[in-house]
Amino acid sequence: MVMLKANELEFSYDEEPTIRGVSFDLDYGNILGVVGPNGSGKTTLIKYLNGLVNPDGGEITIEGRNLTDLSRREIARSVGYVPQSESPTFPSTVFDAVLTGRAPHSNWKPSDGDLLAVSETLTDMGLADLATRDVRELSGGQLRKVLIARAFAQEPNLLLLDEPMASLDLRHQLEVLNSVEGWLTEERAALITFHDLNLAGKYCDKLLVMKNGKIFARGGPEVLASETIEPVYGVEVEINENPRSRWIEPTKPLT
Amino acid sequence: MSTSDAERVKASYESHFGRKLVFIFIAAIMLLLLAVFSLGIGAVNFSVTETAGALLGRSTRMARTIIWNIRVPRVLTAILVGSGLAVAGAALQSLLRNPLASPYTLGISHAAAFGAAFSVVVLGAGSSGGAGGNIVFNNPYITVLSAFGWSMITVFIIVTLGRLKNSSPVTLILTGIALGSLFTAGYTVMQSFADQSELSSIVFWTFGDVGRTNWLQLAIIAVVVIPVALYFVYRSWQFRAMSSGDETAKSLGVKPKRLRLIGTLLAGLITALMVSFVGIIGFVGLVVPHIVRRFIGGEERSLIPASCLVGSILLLGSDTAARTVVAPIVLPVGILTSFLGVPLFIYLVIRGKEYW
Repeated sequence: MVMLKANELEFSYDEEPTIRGVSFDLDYGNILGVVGPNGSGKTTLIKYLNGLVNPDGGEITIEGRNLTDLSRREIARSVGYVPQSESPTFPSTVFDAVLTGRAPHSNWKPSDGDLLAVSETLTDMGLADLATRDVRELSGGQLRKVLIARAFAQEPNLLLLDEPMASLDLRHQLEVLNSVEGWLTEERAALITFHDLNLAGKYCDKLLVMKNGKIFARGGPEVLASETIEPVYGVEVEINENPRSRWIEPTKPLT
Repeated sequence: MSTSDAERVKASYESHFGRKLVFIFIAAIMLLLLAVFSLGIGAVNFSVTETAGALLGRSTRMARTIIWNIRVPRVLTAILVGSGLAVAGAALQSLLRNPLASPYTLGISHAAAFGAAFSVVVLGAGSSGGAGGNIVFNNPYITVLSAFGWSMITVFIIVTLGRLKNSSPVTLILTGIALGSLFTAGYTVMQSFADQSELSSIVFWTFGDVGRTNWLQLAIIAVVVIPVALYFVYRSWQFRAMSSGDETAKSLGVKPKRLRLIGTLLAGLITALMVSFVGIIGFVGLVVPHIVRRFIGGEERSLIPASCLVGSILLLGSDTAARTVVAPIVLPVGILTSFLGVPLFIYLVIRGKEYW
């Protein structure tokens, strides 16, 4: 059953088209991965889906409701967004940073229920011991987990993650992806942009391969084949498959 | 997940937040004690009992006159203006995401100083030598209105530019700095056209002084500053959401551009009003939020009310010192806050590596 429907999305930045005629569906209970080289429009697409850019055209429906009919607060109650990076200007505890995720649900101050929801999220994410630490003292991996915890605290049904694995070590990569898998239920769905094709293939139910703002290919993990990757990324790849895994290895740039 | 683990995390945070409330409570008590002390001290000193008696109308006529007509308005002005400048600074730093933002970053004080000079030189609110060579404004309300008018023009220019499609917090700050320079140039031009007595009154006005206000002006300040401070407290959680950037704020249900424009307009309004009535009082708006962050962190729900109290303490303490350290001479409090503020500011800049 479709949770998110994107139809003919168009967006230009400084009159340069960055998203061109993009249409796709995201089903409940699924993780949709978006891959593509730098500048292919992945980040713009994710911002578009969260109403963070002013589009030139197209339509997005989330759980049957048109995105343009929803207020900023209503979107925030349905959609959690984890940006690529964030650098807080002022000191803030981890707890306070995650507590802002409750802002769409409360008015001028957090309720007892908000505090408990944040405490549970921090405990689930293994961040309990960092609750009163300053976010600016955290490692890149810890901060990424805090940003994800904040999105979880929003209690959204749709989660948008923009390259959550960027600059993370192996352990944090797995922890981050496992936490998203753990969060996913039959009433929820996630869309994640990836640079690492192997992780994308392993964790995603479906994939969109983007090039120059358009969808070049779509399908299950098998869509990451040499005939897709080579024209999109401009590299030769070797695909190693066995019954348990599938491994994509870039061998050399195409001339 | 274990529920008891989550309860433990919640209890730990509540205890952490409770310490911030204790800080706010102690600051409130300190402000109260300082106010009582400040009411009793001056050219004529009164004990706490005498001060309380005068406040309740149970003392000599002279004590009642001194306390009610001179010291209470002065102390209340210091409390309100200190609070207003600090809360404006705290709000602007969060909204513009810049630790150097303050009511003066927006060029408001420069515009007010120009407006005061303009009123003296062009509008004829100029001075004449009062008894004993005191500086007297022929019509102080023209000066106040001119200072306020020019300040609000600055605020509207900044807010209008802030509504442009591609504006960012940096747009507002740079516009404020540019306007500040423009009004400083205008202020200098006014000075060059002023005669000796006009020049004295312009310079006198520029020194901030909380002893200038009467009860009506105090009431006007209170009616504007208190609701704005309460609005900032009410919006403090949304300010926190904005501290991580506009996109994050939007994704958390906040409208960052709108909140920034309303916040900037209100911070500009109270600054313009206060500066018009009491002159320029430097550094309170800039340093108080940083002092508070040192003690209780940057979370706006506690930062904003605590800044109000610490701003009041700093300005009331400075004013009490300004009128007692070299008595009978009364120093303009604006000078003392700069003397206190500059070393503190440099200290914060040097310690900046770990701070911002």
